[in-house]
Amino acid sequence: MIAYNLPWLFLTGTVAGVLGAILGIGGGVFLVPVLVLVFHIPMHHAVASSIISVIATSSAVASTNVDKGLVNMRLGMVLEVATVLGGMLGALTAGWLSGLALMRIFAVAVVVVAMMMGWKAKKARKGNAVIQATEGDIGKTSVSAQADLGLLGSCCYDPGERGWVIYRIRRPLLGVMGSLVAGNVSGLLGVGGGWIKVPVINMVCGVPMKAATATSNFMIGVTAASSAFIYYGRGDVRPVLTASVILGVLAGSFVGSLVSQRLSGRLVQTIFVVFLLLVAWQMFMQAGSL
Amino acid sequence: MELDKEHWVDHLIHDILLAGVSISAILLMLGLSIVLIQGTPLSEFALTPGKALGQAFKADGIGLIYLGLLLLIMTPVARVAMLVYGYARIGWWRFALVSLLVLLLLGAGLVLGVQT
Repeated sequence: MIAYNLPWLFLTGTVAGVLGAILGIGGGVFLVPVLVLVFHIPMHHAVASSIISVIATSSAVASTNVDKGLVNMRLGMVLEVATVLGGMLGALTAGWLSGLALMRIFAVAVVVVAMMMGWKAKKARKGNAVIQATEGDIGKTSVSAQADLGLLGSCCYDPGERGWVIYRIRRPLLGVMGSLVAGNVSGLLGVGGGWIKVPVINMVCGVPMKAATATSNFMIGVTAASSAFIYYGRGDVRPVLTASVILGVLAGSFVGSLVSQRLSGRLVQTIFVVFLLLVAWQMFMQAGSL
Repeated sequence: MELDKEHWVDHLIHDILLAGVSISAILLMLGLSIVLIQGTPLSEFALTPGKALGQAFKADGIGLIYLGLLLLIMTPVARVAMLVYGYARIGWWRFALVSLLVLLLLGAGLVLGVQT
Protein backbone atom coordinates (compact mmCIF):
# COMPACT_ATOMS: atom_id res chain seq x y z
CA MET A 1 0.00 0.00 0.00
CA ILE A 2 1.24 3.46 -0.87
CA ALA A 3 0.31 6.70 0.95
CA TYR A 4 0.23 9.75 -1.33
CA ASN A 5 1.52 13.22 -0.58
CA LEU A 6 -1.45 15.12 -1.97
CA PRO A 7 -0.14 18.72 -1.91
CA TRP A 8 3.01 17.71 -3.82
CA LEU A 9 0.96 15.72 -6.32
CA PHE A 10 -1.30 18.74 -6.84
CA LEU A 11 1.77 20.94 -7.33
CA THR A 12 3.20 18.47 -9.86
CA GLY A 13 -0.07 18.60 -11.79
CA THR A 14 -0.03 22.40 -11.64
CA VAL A 15 3.47 22.58 -13.13
CA ALA A 16 2.39 20.16 -15.88
CA GLY A 17 -0.65 22.35 -16.59
CA VAL A 18 1.43 25.54 -16.72
CA LEU A 19 3.98 23.93 -19.07
CA GLY A 20 1.15 22.59 -21.20
CA ALA A 21 -0.43 26.03 -21.56
CA ILE A 22 2.87 27.78 -22.34
CA LEU A 23 4.45 25.14 -24.60
CA GLY A 24 1.27 23.74 -26.14
CA ILE A 25 1.87 20.18 -24.91
CA GLY A 26 -0.37 17.77 -22.97
CA GLY A 27 1.97 17.62 -19.99
CA GLY A 28 2.35 13.84 -19.92
CA VAL A 29 6.01 13.98 -20.90
CA PHE A 30 6.64 15.91 -17.66
CA LEU A 31 4.12 14.07 -15.46
CA VAL A 32 5.14 10.46 -16.08
CA PRO A 33 8.85 10.80 -15.19
CA VAL A 34 8.14 12.93 -12.11
CA LEU A 35 5.54 10.44 -10.82
CA VAL A 36 7.96 7.54 -11.41
CA LEU A 37 11.29 9.07 -10.37
CA VAL A 38 10.19 11.40 -7.53
CA PHE A 39 7.04 9.78 -6.13
CA HIS A 40 8.11 6.17 -6.96
CA ILE A 41 4.73 5.40 -8.51
CA PRO A 42 4.81 2.16 -10.55
CA MET A 43 5.14 2.94 -14.27
CA HIS A 44 1.70 1.54 -15.32
CA HIS A 45 -0.11 3.62 -12.67
CA ALA A 46 1.84 6.75 -13.64
CA VAL A 47 0.96 6.23 -17.31
CA ALA A 48 -2.72 5.69 -16.46
CA SER A 49 -2.88 8.91 -14.38
CA SER A 50 -1.07 10.84 -17.06
CA ILE A 51 -3.33 9.70 -19.90
CA ILE A 52 -6.43 10.93 -18.04
CA SER A 53 -4.68 14.21 -17.19
CA VAL A 54 -4.03 14.70 -20.90
CA ILE A 55 -7.80 14.45 -21.49
CA ALA A 56 -8.34 17.21 -18.92
CA THR A 57 -5.77 19.54 -20.51
CA SER A 58 -6.97 18.88 -24.04
CA SER A 59 -10.67 19.37 -23.27
CA ALA A 60 -10.08 22.57 -21.27
CA VAL A 61 -7.84 24.23 -23.88
CA ALA A 62 -9.73 22.92 -26.93
CA SER A 63 -13.02 24.39 -25.69
CA THR A 64 -11.47 27.86 -26.03
CA ASN A 65 -9.70 27.20 -29.34
CA VAL A 66 -12.85 25.77 -30.93
CA ASP A 67 -14.84 28.84 -29.94
CA LYS A 68 -12.18 31.06 -31.54
CA GLY A 69 -12.45 29.09 -34.80
CA LEU A 70 -8.78 27.99 -34.67
CA VAL A 71 -9.43 24.25 -34.82
CA ASN A 72 -9.82 22.50 -38.18
CA MET A 73 -12.35 19.95 -36.90
CA ARG A 74 -12.86 18.31 -40.30
CA LEU A 75 -9.17 17.49 -40.62
CA GLY A 76 -9.04 16.54 -36.94
CA MET A 77 -11.85 13.99 -37.30
CA VAL A 78 -10.25 12.35 -40.35
CA LEU A 79 -6.91 12.01 -38.54
CA GLU A 80 -8.64 10.82 -35.37
CA VAL A 81 -9.65 7.58 -37.08
CA ALA A 82 -5.95 6.71 -37.16
CA THR A 83 -5.00 8.06 -33.74
CA VAL A 84 -7.83 6.21 -31.99
CA LEU A 85 -6.72 2.92 -33.58
CA GLY A 86 -3.12 3.68 -32.66
CA GLY A 87 -4.08 4.61 -29.10
CA MET A 88 -5.92 1.35 -28.49
CA LEU A 89 -3.03 -0.68 -29.91
CA GLY A 90 -0.59 1.22 -27.71
CA ALA A 91 -2.61 0.65 -24.53
CA LEU A 92 -3.01 -3.06 -25.28
CA THR A 93 0.73 -3.39 -25.95
CA ALA A 94 1.57 -1.62 -22.68
CA GLY A 95 -0.29 -4.38 -20.82
CA TRP A 96 2.12 -6.96 -22.18
CA LEU A 97 5.28 -4.99 -21.42
CA SER A 98 7.03 -4.79 -18.06
CA GLY A 99 7.41 -1.48 -16.21
CA LEU A 100 11.11 -1.69 -16.94
CA ALA A 101 10.60 -1.98 -20.70
CA LEU A 102 8.13 0.91 -20.65
CA MET A 103 10.63 3.03 -18.74
CA ARG A 104 13.32 2.39 -21.38
CA ILE A 105 10.95 3.21 -24.24
CA PHE A 106 9.86 6.36 -22.42
CA ALA A 107 13.48 7.47 -21.95
CA VAL A 108 14.11 7.16 -25.71
CA ALA A 109 10.89 9.06 -26.45
CA VAL A 110 11.94 11.86 -24.08
CA VAL A 111 15.21 12.33 -25.99
CA VAL A 112 13.22 12.57 -29.25
CA VAL A 113 10.88 15.15 -27.66
CA ALA A 114 13.88 17.20 -26.52
CA MET A 115 15.18 17.19 -30.10
CA MET A 116 11.74 18.08 -31.52
CA MET A 117 11.52 21.07 -29.15
CA GLY A 118 14.44 22.57 -31.04
CA TRP A 119 12.49 22.28 -34.29
CA LYS A 120 11.22 25.59 -35.61
CA ALA A 121 7.68 25.81 -36.89
CA LYS A 122 7.12 26.36 -40.58
CA LYS A 123 5.42 29.61 -41.50
CA ALA A 124 2.62 29.70 -44.09
CA ARG A 125 3.64 27.56 -47.03
CA LYS A 126 4.21 29.10 -50.45
CA GLY A 127 1.05 27.44 -51.75
CA ASN A 128 -1.14 29.05 -49.07
CA ALA A 129 -2.85 32.33 -49.88
CA VAL A 130 -2.57 35.22 -47.45
CA ILE A 131 -5.10 38.03 -47.28
CA GLN A 132 -3.56 41.06 -45.62
CA ALA A 133 -6.19 42.37 -43.21
CA THR A 134 -6.59 42.64 -39.45
CA GLU A 135 -8.68 40.08 -37.63
CA GLY A 136 -11.35 42.68 -36.94
CA ASP A 137 -11.60 44.03 -40.49
CA ILE A 138 -12.74 40.82 -42.16
CA GLY A 139 -14.37 37.68 -40.79
CA LYS A 140 -13.53 34.00 -41.32
CA THR A 141 -16.62 33.39 -43.45
CA SER A 142 -15.76 36.21 -45.86
CA VAL A 143 -12.15 35.03 -46.11
CA SER A 144 -13.13 31.42 -46.80
CA ALA A 145 -15.51 32.50 -49.55
CA GLN A 146 -12.58 33.99 -51.49
CA ALA A 147 -10.78 30.70 -52.16
CA ASP A 148 -11.35 27.04 -52.92
CA LEU A 149 -10.53 25.26 -49.67
CA GLY A 150 -11.14 21.74 -50.85
CA LEU A 151 -12.82 19.25 -48.53
CA LEU A 152 -10.47 19.68 -45.56
CA GLY A 153 -9.00 23.17 -45.95
CA SER A 154 -9.75 26.22 -43.85
CA CYS A 155 -8.36 29.61 -42.87
CA CYS A 156 -7.01 31.22 -39.73
CA TYR A 157 -5.71 34.59 -38.68
CA ASP A 158 -1.90 34.57 -38.27
CA PRO A 159 -0.39 37.56 -36.44
CA GLY A 160 3.04 36.63 -37.81
CA GLU A 161 1.76 37.01 -41.38
CA ARG A 162 -0.41 40.00 -40.38
CA GLY A 163 -3.31 38.54 -42.25
CA TRP A 164 -5.58 35.59 -42.87
CA VAL A 165 -3.88 32.45 -44.14
CA ILE A 166 -6.02 30.29 -46.40
CA TYR A 167 -4.76 26.72 -46.69
CA ARG A 168 -5.62 23.50 -48.45
CA ILE A 169 -4.57 20.17 -46.95
CA ARG A 170 -1.66 18.40 -48.63
CA ARG A 171 -0.57 14.75 -48.37
CA PRO A 172 -3.54 13.61 -46.22
CA LEU A 173 -2.49 9.93 -46.38
CA LEU A 174 0.92 10.71 -44.87
CA GLY A 175 -0.88 12.74 -42.24
CA VAL A 176 -3.04 9.71 -41.40
CA MET A 177 0.06 7.47 -41.07
CA GLY A 178 1.78 10.00 -38.80
CA SER A 179 -1.38 10.18 -36.67
CA LEU A 180 -1.39 6.38 -36.30
CA VAL A 181 2.16 6.52 -34.91
CA ALA A 182 1.26 9.42 -32.62
CA GLY A 183 -1.75 7.52 -31.28
CA ASN A 184 0.33 4.43 -30.65
CA VAL A 185 2.97 6.37 -28.70
CA SER A 186 0.22 8.11 -26.73
CA GLY A 187 -1.46 4.87 -25.70
CA LEU A 188 1.84 3.20 -24.84
CA LEU A 189 3.46 5.97 -22.80
CA GLY A 190 0.56 8.01 -21.40
CA VAL A 191 1.46 11.18 -23.28
CA GLY A 192 -0.68 13.31 -25.58
CA GLY A 193 1.48 12.79 -28.65
CA GLY A 194 1.20 16.44 -29.68
CA TRP A 195 4.95 16.56 -30.26
CA ILE A 196 4.41 14.17 -33.17
CA LYS A 197 1.04 15.48 -34.35
CA VAL A 198 1.94 19.16 -34.55
CA PRO A 199 4.93 18.62 -36.91
CA VAL A 200 2.86 16.17 -39.00
CA ILE A 201 -0.07 18.58 -39.35
CA ASN A 202 2.21 21.61 -39.93
CA MET A 203 5.01 20.23 -42.14
CA VAL A 204 3.29 17.31 -43.90
CA CYS A 205 -0.27 18.62 -44.29
CA GLY A 206 0.68 22.29 -44.73
CA VAL A 207 -1.45 23.74 -41.94
CA PRO A 208 -0.21 27.04 -40.41
CA MET A 209 1.35 26.62 -36.97
CA LYS A 210 -1.39 28.23 -34.88
CA ALA A 211 -4.10 26.09 -36.45
CA ALA A 212 -1.83 23.01 -36.32
CA THR A 213 -1.29 23.40 -32.55
CA ALA A 214 -4.99 24.02 -31.93
CA THR A 215 -6.05 21.05 -34.09
CA SER A 216 -3.50 18.75 -32.43
CA ASN A 217 -4.67 19.80 -28.99
CA PHE A 218 -8.27 19.15 -30.06
CA MET A 219 -7.33 15.63 -31.17
CA ILE A 220 -5.25 14.46 -28.21
CA GLY A 221 -8.29 14.25 -25.91
CA VAL A 222 -9.92 11.60 -28.11
CA THR A 223 -6.59 9.81 -28.61
CA ALA A 224 -6.10 9.64 -24.85
CA ALA A 225 -9.71 8.53 -24.25
CA SER A 226 -9.27 5.54 -26.60
CA SER A 227 -6.50 4.13 -24.39
CA ALA A 228 -7.84 5.47 -21.06
CA PHE A 229 -10.77 3.00 -21.22
CA ILE A 230 -8.30 0.13 -21.34
CA TYR A 231 -6.17 1.43 -18.45
CA TYR A 232 -9.34 2.13 -16.41
CA GLY A 233 -10.72 -1.36 -17.07
CA ARG A 234 -7.38 -2.97 -16.21
CA GLY A 235 -7.43 -1.32 -12.77
CA ASP A 236 -4.29 0.78 -13.43
CA VAL A 237 -6.01 4.04 -12.41
CA ARG A 238 -5.38 5.01 -8.79
CA PRO A 239 -8.25 7.37 -7.86
CA VAL A 240 -6.72 9.63 -5.21
CA LEU A 241 -3.42 9.98 -7.07
CA THR A 242 -5.14 10.76 -10.39
CA ALA A 243 -7.68 13.19 -8.90
CA SER A 244 -4.95 15.22 -7.17
CA VAL A 245 -2.87 15.46 -10.32
CA ILE A 246 -5.84 16.36 -12.57
CA LEU A 247 -7.05 19.15 -10.28
CA GLY A 248 -3.50 20.52 -10.31
CA VAL A 249 -3.35 20.28 -14.12
CA LEU A 250 -6.60 22.21 -14.51
CA ALA A 251 -5.40 24.92 -12.11
CA GLY A 252 -2.04 25.06 -13.89
CA SER A 253 -3.66 25.36 -17.34
CA PHE A 254 -5.61 28.37 -16.11
CA VAL A 255 -2.53 30.02 -14.57
CA GLY A 256 -0.42 29.17 -17.60
CA SER A 257 -2.85 30.75 -20.03
CA LEU A 258 -2.64 33.98 -17.97
CA VAL A 259 1.18 34.14 -17.75
CA SER A 260 2.01 32.78 -21.20
CA GLN A 261 1.67 36.23 -22.73
CA ARG A 262 4.35 37.64 -20.40
CA LEU A 263 6.88 34.83 -20.53
CA SER A 264 9.40 34.19 -23.28
CA GLY A 265 8.23 30.89 -24.82
CA ARG A 266 11.75 30.28 -26.10
CA LEU A 267 13.28 30.59 -22.61
CA VAL A 268 10.74 28.18 -21.11
CA GLN A 269 11.34 25.80 -24.00
CA THR A 270 15.12 25.84 -23.39
CA ILE A 271 14.71 25.11 -19.67
CA PHE A 272 12.29 22.31 -20.52
CA VAL A 273 14.72 20.73 -23.00
CA VAL A 274 17.44 20.62 -20.31
CA PHE A 275 14.92 19.10 -17.88
CA LEU A 276 13.92 16.44 -20.45
CA LEU A 277 17.54 15.41 -21.09
CA LEU A 278 18.13 15.05 -17.31
CA VAL A 279 14.95 12.97 -17.05
CA ALA A 280 16.03 10.70 -19.91
CA TRP A 281 19.40 10.12 -18.23
CA GLN A 282 17.72 9.35 -14.86
CA MET A 283 15.24 6.93 -16.46
CA PHE A 284 18.00 5.12 -18.33
CA MET A 285 20.00 4.86 -15.07
CA GLN A 286 16.99 3.61 -13.10
CA ALA A 287 15.97 1.11 -15.80
CA GLY A 288 19.54 -0.15 -15.98
CA SER A 289 19.90 -0.64 -12.23
CA LEU A 290 16.63 -2.63 -11.80
CA MET B 1 -17.06 25.01 -48.20
CA GLU B 2 -19.53 27.18 -46.27
CA LEU B 3 -17.64 27.82 -43.04
CA ASP B 4 -20.46 29.92 -41.59
CA LYS B 5 -22.40 26.67 -41.04
CA GLU B 6 -19.44 25.30 -39.07
CA HIS B 7 -19.66 28.19 -36.55
CA TRP B 8 -22.78 26.63 -35.05
CA VAL B 9 -20.95 23.29 -34.66
CA ASP B 10 -17.96 25.13 -33.07
CA HIS B 11 -20.21 26.58 -30.35
CA LEU B 12 -21.86 23.20 -29.74
CA ILE B 13 -18.47 21.54 -29.20
CA HIS B 14 -17.25 24.39 -26.98
CA ASP B 15 -20.27 23.92 -24.70
CA ILE B 16 -19.93 20.14 -24.42
CA LEU B 17 -16.19 20.26 -23.65
CA LEU B 18 -16.60 22.98 -21.02
CA ALA B 19 -19.52 21.16 -19.38
CA GLY B 20 -17.63 17.85 -19.24
CA VAL B 21 -14.48 19.33 -17.70
CA SER B 22 -16.40 21.49 -15.20
CA ILE B 23 -18.70 18.73 -13.92
CA SER B 24 -15.89 16.18 -13.60
CA ALA B 25 -13.69 18.74 -11.78
CA ILE B 26 -16.51 19.38 -9.28
CA LEU B 27 -16.94 15.64 -8.68
CA LEU B 28 -13.18 15.17 -8.23
CA MET B 29 -13.00 18.04 -5.71
CA LEU B 30 -16.04 16.72 -3.82
CA GLY B 31 -14.69 13.18 -3.76
CA LEU B 32 -11.21 14.21 -2.66
CA SER B 33 -12.66 16.46 0.08
CA ILE B 34 -14.80 13.60 1.44
CA VAL B 35 -11.78 11.27 1.41
CA LEU B 36 -9.72 13.83 3.37
CA ILE B 37 -12.51 14.70 5.86
CA GLN B 38 -13.45 11.08 6.53
CA GLY B 39 -9.79 10.21 6.92
CA THR B 40 -9.90 7.31 4.46
CA PRO B 41 -6.43 5.73 4.27
CA LEU B 42 -4.71 7.38 1.33
CA SER B 43 -3.67 4.11 -0.16
CA GLU B 44 -4.13 2.62 -3.56
CA PHE B 45 -7.09 0.44 -4.38
CA ALA B 46 -9.18 0.03 -7.48
CA LEU B 47 -12.88 -0.40 -8.09
CA THR B 48 -14.64 -1.75 -11.14
CA PRO B 49 -16.67 0.95 -12.93
CA GLY B 50 -19.91 -0.74 -11.81
CA LYS B 51 -18.93 -0.77 -8.13
CA ALA B 52 -17.63 2.82 -8.40
CA LEU B 53 -20.96 4.10 -9.70
CA GLY B 54 -22.80 2.31 -6.89
CA GLN B 55 -20.53 3.85 -4.26
CA ALA B 56 -20.77 7.30 -5.87
CA PHE B 57 -24.52 7.37 -5.26
CA LYS B 58 -23.84 6.65 -1.60
CA ALA B 59 -21.70 9.83 -1.51
CA ASP B 60 -18.56 7.75 -0.98
CA GLY B 61 -15.42 9.81 -1.65
CA ILE B 62 -13.61 7.19 -3.73
CA GLY B 63 -16.81 6.41 -5.66
CA LEU B 64 -17.27 10.11 -6.50
CA ILE B 65 -13.66 10.34 -7.71
CA TYR B 66 -14.16 7.31 -9.94
CA LEU B 67 -17.36 8.84 -11.30
CA GLY B 68 -15.57 12.13 -11.99
CA LEU B 69 -12.74 10.30 -13.80
CA LEU B 70 -15.25 8.29 -15.85
CA LEU B 71 -17.07 11.48 -16.82
CA LEU B 72 -13.78 13.11 -17.84
CA ILE B 73 -12.86 10.14 -20.05
CA MET B 74 -16.35 10.27 -21.60
CA THR B 75 -16.07 14.02 -22.40
CA PRO B 76 -14.13 13.54 -25.69
CA VAL B 77 -16.53 10.70 -26.56
CA ALA B 78 -19.50 13.03 -26.02
CA ARG B 79 -17.69 15.59 -28.19
CA VAL B 80 -17.45 13.08 -31.05
CA ALA B 81 -21.13 12.14 -30.65
CA MET B 82 -22.05 15.82 -30.85
CA LEU B 83 -20.02 16.15 -34.04
CA VAL B 84 -22.01 13.29 -35.61
CA TYR B 85 -25.20 15.17 -34.73
CA GLY B 86 -23.81 18.59 -35.66
CA TYR B 87 -22.46 17.62 -39.07
CA ALA B 88 -25.65 15.68 -39.88
CA ARG B 89 -27.74 18.67 -38.89
CA ILE B 90 -25.91 21.04 -41.28
CA GLY B 91 -25.93 18.42 -44.04
CA TRP B 92 -22.20 17.55 -44.09
CA TRP B 93 -22.86 13.83 -44.33
CA ARG B 94 -19.30 12.77 -45.20
CA PHE B 95 -17.98 14.26 -41.95
CA ALA B 96 -20.93 12.91 -39.98
CA LEU B 97 -19.96 9.42 -41.21
CA VAL B 98 -16.27 9.94 -40.38
CA SER B 99 -17.27 11.11 -36.87
CA LEU B 100 -19.53 8.07 -36.53
CA LEU B 101 -16.59 5.82 -37.44
CA VAL B 102 -14.47 7.45 -34.71
CA LEU B 103 -17.37 6.99 -32.26
CA LEU B 104 -17.63 3.28 -33.14
CA LEU B 105 -13.87 2.85 -32.64
CA LEU B 106 -14.12 4.53 -29.24
CA GLY B 107 -16.99 2.18 -28.43
CA ALA B 108 -14.72 -0.74 -29.28
CA GLY B 109 -12.16 0.69 -26.87
CA LEU B 110 -14.82 0.92 -24.17
CA VAL B 111 -15.81 -2.73 -24.72
CA LEU B 112 -12.16 -3.76 -24.58
CA GLY B 113 -11.78 -1.87 -21.32
CA VAL B 114 -14.83 -3.54 -19.80
CA GLN B 115 -13.64 -6.99 -20.90
CA THR B 116 -10.17 -6.29 -19.49
